[in-house]
Amino acid sequence: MGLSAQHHAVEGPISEKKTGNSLFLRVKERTIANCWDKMEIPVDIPTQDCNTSSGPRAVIGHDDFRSGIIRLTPQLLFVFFVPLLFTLHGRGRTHIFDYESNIGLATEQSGTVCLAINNDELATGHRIALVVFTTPQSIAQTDVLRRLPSSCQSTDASNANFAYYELRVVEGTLAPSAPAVAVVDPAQPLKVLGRFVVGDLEGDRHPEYFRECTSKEGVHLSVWTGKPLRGKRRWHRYYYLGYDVERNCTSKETKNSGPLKALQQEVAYATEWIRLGAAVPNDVKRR
Amino acid sequence: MQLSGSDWVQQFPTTSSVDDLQEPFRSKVQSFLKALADAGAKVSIADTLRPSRRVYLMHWSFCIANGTANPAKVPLMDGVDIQWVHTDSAGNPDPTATKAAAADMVKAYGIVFAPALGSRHTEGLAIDMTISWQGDLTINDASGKPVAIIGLPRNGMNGDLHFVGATYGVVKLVTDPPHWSSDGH
Repeated sequence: MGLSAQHHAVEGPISEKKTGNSLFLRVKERTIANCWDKMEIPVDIPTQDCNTSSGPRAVIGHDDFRSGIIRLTPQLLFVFFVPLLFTLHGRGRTHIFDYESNIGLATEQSGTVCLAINNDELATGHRIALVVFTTPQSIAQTDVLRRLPSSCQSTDASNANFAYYELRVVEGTLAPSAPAVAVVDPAQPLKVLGRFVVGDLEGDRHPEYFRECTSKEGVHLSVWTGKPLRGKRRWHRYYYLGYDVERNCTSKETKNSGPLKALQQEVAYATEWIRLGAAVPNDVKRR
Repeated sequence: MQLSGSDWVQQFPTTSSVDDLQEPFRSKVQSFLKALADAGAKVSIADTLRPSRRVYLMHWSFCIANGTANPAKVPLMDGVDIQWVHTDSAGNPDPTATKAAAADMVKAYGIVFAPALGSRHTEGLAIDMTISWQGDLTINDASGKPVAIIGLPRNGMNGDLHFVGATYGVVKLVTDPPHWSSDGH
């Protein structure tokens, strides 16, 4: 039963499991589906006259053009403007969740829970959920205790925009020395489904998953919309451990930028290696 | 032989001194660090040498604590006179005490993930450091040619800086931001 539940947690769409979602979301989904139905209605366009592959080139007069536009106007309105209106409407209702400022990294060192996050507006008492990478994954609830004047983690010097907070755990536990993902104000509360913590952070009914893996001497934490490694990676951070570990990361989890940019960087890196007359490291070859 | 336990953790400490690196990598690192300093970059060194004896203790204590290794069959390590198997008052192996002692070591080391047995750090061929600068960075490569680094990020993950480091023989491992080594591993 446990295995089945775990499998379902990864494979199954979260939206099917949810109940009690807002009326708006259900209406939006149905209406968009109707839009697609409508868009499949064939539009009567006289393509014969525009065929340039045979015979003399057709000349379309102003009247022909205008009458064509007039004939097409209702369809054009429907095809272009109605979906646009719904898109804008949907945006207005969707929870605003900024991955850069609403997600951070928390660690416990010597009994103190420290949060490093690109957000300097968290007030004392602000509730923050932590995704703890135990097996199965678990959730801890914390409150902001106070803002810290300086860094409380060892490897965040690469980002001068971080703010640091001390957190107080009010529910659940953290594993000492292990990093956890801190989530500020998700649209829907995080839930444990099988072995995994899942959350609809943006309120768009697309589930977000949390993942960690180890590289040579650190942990890569990531948040994915959709299944990890197959969905879209939305957030990533590295946590330095200070000792060498067994690696299990894939390149999708360790890269620092978008796929195309990362690929360009890798090609440039390998090219430079060859230019320098050195063997391309296996890590680069593999990526 | 000394029984396993948290007392071992203080022995064989990791160092952050460039002097503990192996030649010729040490000289290459020193040259690269000098170039960085001359260019105005800020460098903070975390780890250089991780003694193989420390790594041995970390690896096997983690395995024993997690039940993935037989403490009676842990290979010996030269210079580490440790007794992994604890015994009861009758002299018989005490698995509970053995595991508890290993777990104490794991806790004292602050280990969460399975430690690897060997790395460039144990060979004195790697350095972990945080590099940062403000504005543009103009740094000399190993041939003395100045290289202007204009793009982001302004830290050790900058690809242009990786090329400069490589000219010195200090090679970036891109999956681990602080890690540079003799061959990128």
